[in-house]
Amino acid sequence: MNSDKFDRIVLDLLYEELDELTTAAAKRHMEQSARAREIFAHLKATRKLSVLPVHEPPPNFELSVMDGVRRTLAELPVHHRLGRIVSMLAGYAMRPQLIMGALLLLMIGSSLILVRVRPGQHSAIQVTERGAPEADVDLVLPLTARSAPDLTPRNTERDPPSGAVERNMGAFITAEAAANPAPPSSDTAKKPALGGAAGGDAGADGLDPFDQAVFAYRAGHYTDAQRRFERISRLGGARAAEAALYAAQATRNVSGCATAVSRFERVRLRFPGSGSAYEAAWRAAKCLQQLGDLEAARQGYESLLQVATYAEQARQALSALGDSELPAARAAALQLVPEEPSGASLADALDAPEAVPPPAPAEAEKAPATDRPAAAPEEPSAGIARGSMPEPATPGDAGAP
Amino acid sequence: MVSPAEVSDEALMLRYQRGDRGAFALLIRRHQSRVYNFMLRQLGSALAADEMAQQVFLGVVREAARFNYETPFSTRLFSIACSLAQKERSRMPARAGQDEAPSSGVSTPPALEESIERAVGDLPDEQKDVFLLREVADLRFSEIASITQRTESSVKMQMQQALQRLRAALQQFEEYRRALR
Repeated sequence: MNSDKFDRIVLDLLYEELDELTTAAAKRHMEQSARAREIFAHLKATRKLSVLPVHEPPPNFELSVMDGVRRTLAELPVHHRLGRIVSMLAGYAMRPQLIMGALLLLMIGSSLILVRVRPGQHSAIQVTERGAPEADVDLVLPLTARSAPDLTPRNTERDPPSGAVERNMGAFITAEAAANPAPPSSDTAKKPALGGAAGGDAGADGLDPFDQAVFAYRAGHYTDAQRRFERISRLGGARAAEAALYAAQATRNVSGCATAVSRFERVRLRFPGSGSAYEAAWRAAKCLQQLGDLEAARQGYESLLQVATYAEQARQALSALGDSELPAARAAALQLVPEEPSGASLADALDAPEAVPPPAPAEAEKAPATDRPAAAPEEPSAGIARGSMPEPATPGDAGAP
Repeated sequence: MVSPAEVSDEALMLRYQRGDRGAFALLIRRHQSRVYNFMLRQLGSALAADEMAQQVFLGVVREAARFNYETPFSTRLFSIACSLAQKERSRMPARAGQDEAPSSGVSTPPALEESIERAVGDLPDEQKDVFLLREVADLRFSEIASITQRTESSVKMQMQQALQRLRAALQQFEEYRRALR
């Protein structure tokens, strides 16, 4: 370092703004140069003594300034105020938390928009329920229909259903047709023909409504068949009980046991004592068993122990349920009770199986526990063979009657 | 958690731009003494120094929206102070020296203190600006060059000339001779 360079850096050396290397070089230069030492000494002494005393500002200085700030902000021009507001908003907008929050809201909003509806699609899912309209269902089996004139003889009907075991629906239909001439009631005569079965089956033309319904049933059009059977049942007549049973079975084929149980129960209650009622009771019990309601199924089976044509099947079903030991009273009743109790007593027995009164011995003697042909031509269920109706395992494969 | 004392001036100014007046109050507390003494040495009047020091901070408020964070806050603050001092000196030259500066309580003998204050007051405006910015405002020469809009070498030359004038005023005192040893 020479004297010129020292003169240029001497103030930096005095105020300690030099780096260490230059400071060391300057100190080495001062050790070798008396002029440099003298210059630095005078500057150092001058700086040491020329320290000006520090005066404190007035005590209210800060408050005065803050008051002035408020006044100044109030007097700022509009564009300055806007600039200040924009600056404040921009300052908040640049905060990472705010940016992350806005990004999260954007993601949620876009997800809702994209997931909710695609262009051209409906906003709501439309579903079609297979089954009878609720209004029709309510009209199908009103319990007050017991007072219908054509039901009254059934309550006193003592003839059991046909004992012939027919394993297919065709046989069932044949037996029904043979046993029941099915005189056209005044109501059905007034009704127009129901037309062909669903699906435009021309072969159903010319048949009476019941046969048309059976035709639809056998064709696998259970919904249509159910509707037709319900109309027939609603109108009454000689085959109302069969129609009601068919309608219940069609319901089971369409909607399953959960829905069909109540239909079967309605048939049993509406046509007590008839073959359709027993068949409905049997099917209701089976449905209950499938649904897992074993106690209700057991009661249903036990109610059928008193009916000769169902006793053996009911006993087997009870055995399958693990109830191999039948009550002695029930076993005795099987020997004494005629094949078919009165409709009212059967309905009571199904409602309260334990309270079923044993029938009169005279009636038991008069009605041996064997299959007998139907005696009453107006009894539509007289020809129903137990288990003769098709029972698809599931509603889905219920197409083969 | 950063204590308020550790927050930089620039961060406080940013808070004030977002509406935090408390941050600006902290800035005032940090710099009021230096600004006030700078104005006091520039104008020689405590009343005028009080008034102008307030104007310095209000100038910061007015320019807050245009505050440049690449420039240190103290540089911007004393740039405003220096500009206001120059305007005030040119507007009311006779006012300087009318009011006595309040006593400081420093142990320096009155004669030496008076000589120093007079020597500083007698410095040319350019030298006085540089000297006060260096000694009172405690700014680096590069910052002083930025404030006065001169080169750094020019600033150092002004500072050296100011120190030579002060040395001439101080040489008569025994304290100066003792400081030389």
